[in-house]
Amino acid sequence: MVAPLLTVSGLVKHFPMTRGHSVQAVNDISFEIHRGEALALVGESGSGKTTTGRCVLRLIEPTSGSVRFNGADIVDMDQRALRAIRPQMQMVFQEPFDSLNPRMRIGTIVEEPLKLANIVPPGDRRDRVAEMLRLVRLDTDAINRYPHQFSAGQQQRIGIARALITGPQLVVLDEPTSALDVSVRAEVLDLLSDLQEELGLAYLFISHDLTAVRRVCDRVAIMYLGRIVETGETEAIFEQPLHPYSRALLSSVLYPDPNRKLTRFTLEGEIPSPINLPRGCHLNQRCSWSEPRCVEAYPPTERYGPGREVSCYRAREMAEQDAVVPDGGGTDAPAGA
Amino acid sequence: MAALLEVEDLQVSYRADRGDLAILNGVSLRVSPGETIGVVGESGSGKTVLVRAILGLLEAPFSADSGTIQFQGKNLLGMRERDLAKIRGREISMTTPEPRKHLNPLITIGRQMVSIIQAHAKVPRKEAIDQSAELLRSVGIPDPALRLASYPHELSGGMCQRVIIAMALAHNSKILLIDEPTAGLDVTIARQILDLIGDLVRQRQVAVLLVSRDLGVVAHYCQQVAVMYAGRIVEQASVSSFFHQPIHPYSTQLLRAAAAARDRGHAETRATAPLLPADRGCAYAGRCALAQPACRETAPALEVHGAGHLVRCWRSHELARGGVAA
Repeated sequence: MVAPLLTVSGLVKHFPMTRGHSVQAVNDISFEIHRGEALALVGESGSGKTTTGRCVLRLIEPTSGSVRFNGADIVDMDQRALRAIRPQMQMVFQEPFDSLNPRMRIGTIVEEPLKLANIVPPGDRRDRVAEMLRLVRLDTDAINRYPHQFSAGQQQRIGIARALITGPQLVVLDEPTSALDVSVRAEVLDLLSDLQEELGLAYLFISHDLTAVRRVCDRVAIMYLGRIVETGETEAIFEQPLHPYSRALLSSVLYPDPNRKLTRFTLEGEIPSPINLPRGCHLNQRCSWSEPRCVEAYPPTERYGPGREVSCYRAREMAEQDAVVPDGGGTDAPAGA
Repeated sequence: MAALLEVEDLQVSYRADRGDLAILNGVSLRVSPGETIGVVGESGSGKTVLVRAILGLLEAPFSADSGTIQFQGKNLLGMRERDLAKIRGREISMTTPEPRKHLNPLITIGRQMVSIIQAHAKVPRKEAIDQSAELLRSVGIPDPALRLASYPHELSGGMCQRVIIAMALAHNSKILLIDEPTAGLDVTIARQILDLIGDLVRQRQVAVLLVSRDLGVVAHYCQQVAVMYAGRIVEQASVSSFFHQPIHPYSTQLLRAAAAARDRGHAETRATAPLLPADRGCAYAGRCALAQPACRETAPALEVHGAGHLVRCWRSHELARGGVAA
């Protein structure tokens, strides 16, 4: 088996507060991303997905745990080593306009990472910029214009060009389309898919938009209150989510088809505070399947078929009620549209 | 059923230095009790301006130039501000994508609710508090007594949205104008809010005009849909008719973009919507793959395609027959 490009293990990030409290944003999560693979990190606000993305790039310092990129733990790296590795891991931000300096021309914005990385001779940089703009399907005369002269969708393409110019192997995309209109969103998502294929990129795709995830990602990790509750292949998870939280999340998706029956797998109340995490399974107060052991201790992560992991005491029981039981043999639910 | 709210040929313009811009161009629609009509469109299509026009909340440089907005036999357009204030927020309530901004940050939820209730009926304070708690409970807020003592900043976005809806109930509003009910809310919370709105429509026969860019919301929570593009309604139909047989090229493109699955052959769209509608011709012509020279000459009118299905497109008859693939 090929070694993964990125291996995150036991990642923890707590933000200290006054009086000894802390926001426990990320609590012991582990996942891998292989070369050329798109992994979605899905969850609602406060689930810790953005914090995870930032820790992966070490834009913020993890409290504990390791982040291995190409075998090297970036958590231990000094600034020099980190600078050397940065060109290989880049980020695309949520707000396209806010993440572009309004007083810089597009050419300068897109060129900047190349300057910092110093991996291309200065004379060749402008050619690379033009090449990047073509890659994201923008006219090369954009070079001399300013961010405000572009639509939100075009601004996001500029953000993508800037991320790709250093030739990264991994791109962290933090809600790349949540600020965009439907049709523009579709264009950007399709562009991201195409680029992934053409350039063999690996994505960590952070999003709460499940239809976007389904369109772009190979695998999905679902987060709730700083933990990954379920991971698996995208279609397998959409076909049959196993964790009660995944079920609730996916049954909330409204597909643009009035004939599609709405399934409701409801959760009570709202997400508890990450300052006072519930004891045991973090979902236990909201879950109708909760029983005493769910309050006692956090459930172990169990394997359900290839690449499928779920942290719930009663997932197997619930799957049996669904009649389609995924097992180690890989008899997944039949794939369908 | 007789319409409760009837917008007829509404014209709203924006006064700019270089002349007036038509922001809403002949918009007509009607909402009946117990019915939800979804207004869809992208940013800048005029959805929010429509809502604000209905409530008489347009401010310069926007102005409603012509048309009528009939509510219970009265034309809201041109009504005196004093009279309008009696209807606005009372008989017709509105929610926005930023519910917290509509709550007074300095006053507890309880005092805001009580003042509404006491404005409508002479009830003692104690009773008004009980009623407020009951209303909060009916919109799914746990521990209502506790929440009455809370300030808006202590509530989540979803909670604030519920409080706004509870206030509309306190007013016994007949019409709810709901602007982007799910924006900024997490999916599971968004579904709770939509279900709550759906219950109000069924149980209280409230009429709802729901503005959204999410076709999934419209498919499941509306009976009628109006698609807006550059200030015009380009297609209007029952939800089942629209989703089974969308006719306007813009509608088909929106539906395709909203699909979860990827549709490679059709991923290509043309540029973004123009901020300003074209002077003449169909506003969508510049983006439309099916545009013909005639489309750029004169603007098409809304034409009927079967029961209540209206389409504004020169090629709508061909498209309805399936003669051309959009």
